[in-house]
Amino acid sequence: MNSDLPGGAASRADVLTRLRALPRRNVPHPGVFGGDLRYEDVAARFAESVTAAGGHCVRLAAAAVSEALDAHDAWRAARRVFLGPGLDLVHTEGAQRLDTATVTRLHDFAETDITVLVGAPGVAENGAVWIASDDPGLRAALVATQHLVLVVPAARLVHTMHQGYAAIDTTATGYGVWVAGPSKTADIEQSLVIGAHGPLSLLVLVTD
Amino acid sequence: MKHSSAAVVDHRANAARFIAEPGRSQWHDQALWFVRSKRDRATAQIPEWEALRAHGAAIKRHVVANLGDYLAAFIAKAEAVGATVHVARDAAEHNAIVHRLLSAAGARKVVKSKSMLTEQCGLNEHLHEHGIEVVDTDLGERIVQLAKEPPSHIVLPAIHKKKEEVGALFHQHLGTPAGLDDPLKLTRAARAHLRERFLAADAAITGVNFAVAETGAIVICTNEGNMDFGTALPDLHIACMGLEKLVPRAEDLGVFTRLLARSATGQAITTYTSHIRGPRRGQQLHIVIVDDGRVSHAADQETSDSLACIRCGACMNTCPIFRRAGGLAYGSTIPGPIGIVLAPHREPSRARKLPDACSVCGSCSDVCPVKIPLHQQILTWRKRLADRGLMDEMKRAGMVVGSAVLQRPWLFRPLAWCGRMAMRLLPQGLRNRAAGAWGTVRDVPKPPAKSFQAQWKARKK
Repeated sequence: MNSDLPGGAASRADVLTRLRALPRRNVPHPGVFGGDLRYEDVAARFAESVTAAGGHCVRLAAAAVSEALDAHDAWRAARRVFLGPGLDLVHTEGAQRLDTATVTRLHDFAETDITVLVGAPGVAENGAVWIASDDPGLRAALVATQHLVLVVPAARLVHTMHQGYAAIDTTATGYGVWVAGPSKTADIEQSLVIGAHGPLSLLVLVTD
Repeated sequence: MKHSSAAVVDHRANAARFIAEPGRSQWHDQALWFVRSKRDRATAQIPEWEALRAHGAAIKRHVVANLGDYLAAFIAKAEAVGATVHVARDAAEHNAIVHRLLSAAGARKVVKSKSMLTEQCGLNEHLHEHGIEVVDTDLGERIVQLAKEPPSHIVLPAIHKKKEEVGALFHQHLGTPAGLDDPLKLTRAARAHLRERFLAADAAITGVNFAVAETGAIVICTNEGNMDFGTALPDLHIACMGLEKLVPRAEDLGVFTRLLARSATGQAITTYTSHIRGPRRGQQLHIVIVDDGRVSHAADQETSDSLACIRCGACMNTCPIFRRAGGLAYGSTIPGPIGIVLAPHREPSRARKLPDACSVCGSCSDVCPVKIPLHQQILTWRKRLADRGLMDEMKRAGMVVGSAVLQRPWLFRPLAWCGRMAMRLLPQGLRNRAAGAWGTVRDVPKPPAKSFQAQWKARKK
């Protein structure tokens, strides 16, 4: 690293040296949070939280996912779909399936009409679902898609974010995101608008 | 847009301009009280909320006491997973680093997600001077960028703008029909406009909410998805952060993700809470870590707690002065109670009147998710600025006279009698004027004929 350039080694050394010269204070880390908020019905609470976040939540048998999608307007109307790993779905209307094998230009993933991904855990207190991937296409399709569907196994629902973080390994992938609801904004006079720059809708399928 | 940096910020004069337009102040007050009420409902759903606040506060204080170790650990981890880390001593160095990275990549079109740090550094203006176009992609930030104004709130940058004003801006810049002021339609127009910009961007600049020392990940929270969209396509991602954004471990995020959105907007969590650890395939990730006075702030033990701030804006939404005066009155990127305690660290002379924009009601300290004793720190700054000779001249003169009179009952009694009599004799208009700022919007009542002491004595008989 050239120390003459802005942000070079000299600045780094200077800031670290000055930080380390601060008077030592013994302020211990408080450890793991001891709260124990638990919901009577974790799945019911999760569904409520998804709804509160602007999404729609349905519980069904794992075998019924395909059927549920066929009943979903955004899926039926889609021309280009992105399916995440672990999903074996067929679009009956013959939409184009975008994946890393067929699409070479990352920008094409931004043309996705609907993206379907498997995620876990799902967090009851806020409706968030963890999606993690190293696939740049998935990362683009996750946010640029017009509509999003997340499939979450009921067995992987947890109560709070503490349990959520305990259930994941944030170092397993380069990108991971808690998704709670469709994209939204209230930046104009605090009027909530669902569908900001990303998905206009979110359907969460909780599977048994 | 950056606040002009020349003169002393005159909060009172700025607020007077905001209040002057009939109805504006009440409208703004209600908009923010609505957000504050949502926050109250959201926190009431968490029985362990107070324990959570205490826990978040303790983690942040631990970080502030060990910043050197955590910064070194974060840099090592982030570089081990492929990010390039730059450390900037001040705003100018920060801007120079970002410009150099963009130039090296030949980037002309940049999308930026919300970052108060880059606002504070005046990054947009710096890049613009060098021919690089930066589009703010948070809707609120885009609105104020089109209006050529600074954000008035750190979470709700355009909270001071009415939908009719947004409609007029969009008509001028985005070609929406004249007179269109429906928030849904305006948001859809912004969606189309910004999606184009995302697709055309050469590079993305983002802020950072949390940087995890243990893993080298940066965590960024948005509702709109603008950070995720902005960084998904271009080959260059530059993330800018103050060095106080560090948290020790990934599990600590469990605490802060529960605190942040509930305190900010009353949501249980933001729509996207994204963890980026190293560059994605085909991309360069640069993390620019900025000091700009934070090291000396950490050294200042009396006020170092305010480095714990997670930028939720709850103190703004609850502050009776912020709600009525608007965020632009503070003349700094971070306004409101937290702005009052941060600004004098960087610019004591320019910010010397800001600590007076406080009624010391303490509501800010009560809602702060990391328990910064904000109102106490505001008092600390009043005292410090007075000690440094930066107190307002009129106020200082008043203090000197008041102190002299109040210490001498033989002087106080006759002067109080004269004052009382004068105020009784003056017509209402002059009486209001004699009461100073207090009387500009209220009728000052006529003082009683007898002093409090005389009434008290009569009562005790």
